Amino acid sequence: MRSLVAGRESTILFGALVAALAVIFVLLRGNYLFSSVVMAGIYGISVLGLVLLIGLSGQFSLGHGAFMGIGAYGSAVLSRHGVPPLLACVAAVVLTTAAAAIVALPIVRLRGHFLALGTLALGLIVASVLSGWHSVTLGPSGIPDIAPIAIGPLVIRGEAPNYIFIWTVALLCLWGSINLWRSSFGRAALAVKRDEDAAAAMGIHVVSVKVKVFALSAALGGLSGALYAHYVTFISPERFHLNASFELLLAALLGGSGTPFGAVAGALLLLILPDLVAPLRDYKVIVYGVIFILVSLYLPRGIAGTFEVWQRRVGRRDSAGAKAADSSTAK
Amino acid sequence: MSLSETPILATRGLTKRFGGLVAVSDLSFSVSRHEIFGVIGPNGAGKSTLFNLLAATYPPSGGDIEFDSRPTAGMPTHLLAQRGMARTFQNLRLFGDQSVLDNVLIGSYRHARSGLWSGLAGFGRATAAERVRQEKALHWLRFVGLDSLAGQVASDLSFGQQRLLELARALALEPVLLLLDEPASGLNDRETERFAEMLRRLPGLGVTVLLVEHNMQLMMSVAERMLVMDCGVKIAEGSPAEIQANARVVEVYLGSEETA
Repeated sequence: MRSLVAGRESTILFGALVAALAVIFVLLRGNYLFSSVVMAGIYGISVLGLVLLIGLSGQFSLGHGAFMGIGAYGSAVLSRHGVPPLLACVAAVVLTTAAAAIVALPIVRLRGHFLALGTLALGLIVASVLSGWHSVTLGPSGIPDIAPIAIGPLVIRGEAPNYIFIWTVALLCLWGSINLWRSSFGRAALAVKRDEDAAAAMGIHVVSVKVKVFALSAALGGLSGALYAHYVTFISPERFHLNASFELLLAALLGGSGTPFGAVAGALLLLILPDLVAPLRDYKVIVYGVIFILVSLYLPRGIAGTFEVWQRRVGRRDSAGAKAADSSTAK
Repeated sequence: MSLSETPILATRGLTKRFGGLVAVSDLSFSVSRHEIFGVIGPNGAGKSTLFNLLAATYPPSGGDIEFDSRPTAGMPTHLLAQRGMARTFQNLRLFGDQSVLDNVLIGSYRHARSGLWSGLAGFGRATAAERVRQEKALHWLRFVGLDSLAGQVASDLSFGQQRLLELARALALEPVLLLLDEPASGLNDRETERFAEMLRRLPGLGVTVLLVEHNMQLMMSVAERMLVMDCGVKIAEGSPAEIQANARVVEVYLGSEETA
C-alpha cells in the first residue's frame, strides 16, 4: 500500500514542508500574512492532537478547545506568579495531560455520539471555570501582559523569532506523530479504531491505548495553548470556547485525519483563508459552516486523505501499465 | 503431572443461559496439548456460544474454564491473548483498511509491545527487533501462501484469502492455543483441502487447535478428537472413528442432516 505515513513519501513530504516554511520565511516576512502563518503553527499543534485522536484511535472530540484553554491559562497563571515562561509551558503541558488522563478514564469508554457529548460537556465545563474562577484566571476580562518565552538569555519576541521557534516545535510534534503512526503502538491504535473486539483478541489493551492517545492529544492541545499565551501575550476565556473547539475540528476534518500532514494543511487553510478573502472574516461562522458541510459531503478524507487516494490511484495505474507492458513483451 | 500432561484447556460444568434459554449446559471436557480438537453439532447446538465462552466474549453463567492451568473467569480478552490464546472470527474481522502485512504485524503485538514514547521517538522502526518482526510476519504469510500479497490492502483480498489472512494474523501471536470459529465456511473444496493441510502442520509447531466447524469432511480429516454437542449438552466425545460409530451421534447429527 502506498500511504503518506508508511514509507519514504512522508520523509519527502516532511522535507518539502520544511523547505516551504523556509521560503515563506524569506518571502512573507513583513507581509500581513506572516503572523497568520505563525498562528497556523500554534493551531496546527492542536489540530495535530485532534488528527491523532480521530485518525489513530477513532475517537472524537467536540471540546478540544478546552485543552488549549488549560494549557494557555496554566502557563499564563504560572508565569504571572514568577515561574519562567519556558518552565511554565512545560508545567502547563503536564497539567493538561494529567487533567485529560483523569477525564479520559470515564470518557474513552463512551462510543460514538456519547463520546462526542462527553467531550462537549468537558469543553463547556472548562470554559465556565476559566471565566468563573476569578481569583486565578482574572475572569472574563482575561490575563494581559503575559511574558514571552525565553530560552536562557534568548527572549522570543517579535514575529520572526516566534515563527522559527513555533514552527520548530510544531515540526517536532509532526515528526513524532509520523513516527508514532508507523510504530507498533500506532498499528495497535489503528486496530482499535477499526475493530475494538478484534484488537483485544490480538492482546491489545483497548482502554489503555485509547486513554494514551486521548492524553497525548490533550498534551498537544495544552502545548498549543501555552504557545498561544506567550505569543499573543493576552488570553481571555472566549478564545477557548466551543467556537475554538469547532474550528479545530473543522481544520482536522478539512485537512484530513488519515495522516498527521492533514493537521498542517487544515491549520494553514483555516488561518490563512480569512486573511486572503477579507470579507470572509465578517461571516466567518457562516463560511465555516458551509465549508464543514461541503467537506463532509465531497472530501470525507480531507485534503491530505484525498491527495493520498489520488496518489495511490496513480501508483496502481502505473503498476497496471507496467504489467500490461510486461505481458505484451512476453508475447 | 508434567507440563505436557496437563490439559491446555479444561471446562467443568460450564453453563450459559440467555434468559430462559440454556445455550450450553453443564459441559465438561478437556483439550490436550498439541492436538486438534473439534467441536461439532447441528445448528443451535450451542457451538458458537461455547466458542464465545472459551474466548471470554461472554461470561459463563456457571462452571469454570481453565486455560493453561489458570481459571479464565473475569480475565479480559486482551490478557487471554497475551497469555497465548488466539482466535479467528466466524464473520471475518480483519483490519480492512490496513495492509496484509500490517494485519499480521498487529497479530504479533504481544511480542512487540513498544510503548507510546518509543513510538514518538521513532525507535522500533529501524531496530533489529522490528526487522525480526517483519520477517516473522512474512514467514506466517508464506505459511498460508499470501506472501506475494503482503503490500495489498486487506479488504482487496478475495474471501478465501481473507480467511487465510485471519489465520496468519492469529498465528503471528505464536499462540499455545488457537480457537477457530468455522474457518472453512465460504471456502470451496480446494481451498478447504489446503486449509486442512495447514491445520495439520500446527500441532508440530506447538499450537493446540480447537476447531468449531460445520464442515464434517474437514472435521473428520483433521481432528484427532472431537466433542459432539446437541441442544447445549455433550452427547459424545472421542476419535473420529468412535464418533462415526456412535449411534446417538448418527441419530442426532448425521440423521438430522440427511433428513434436512
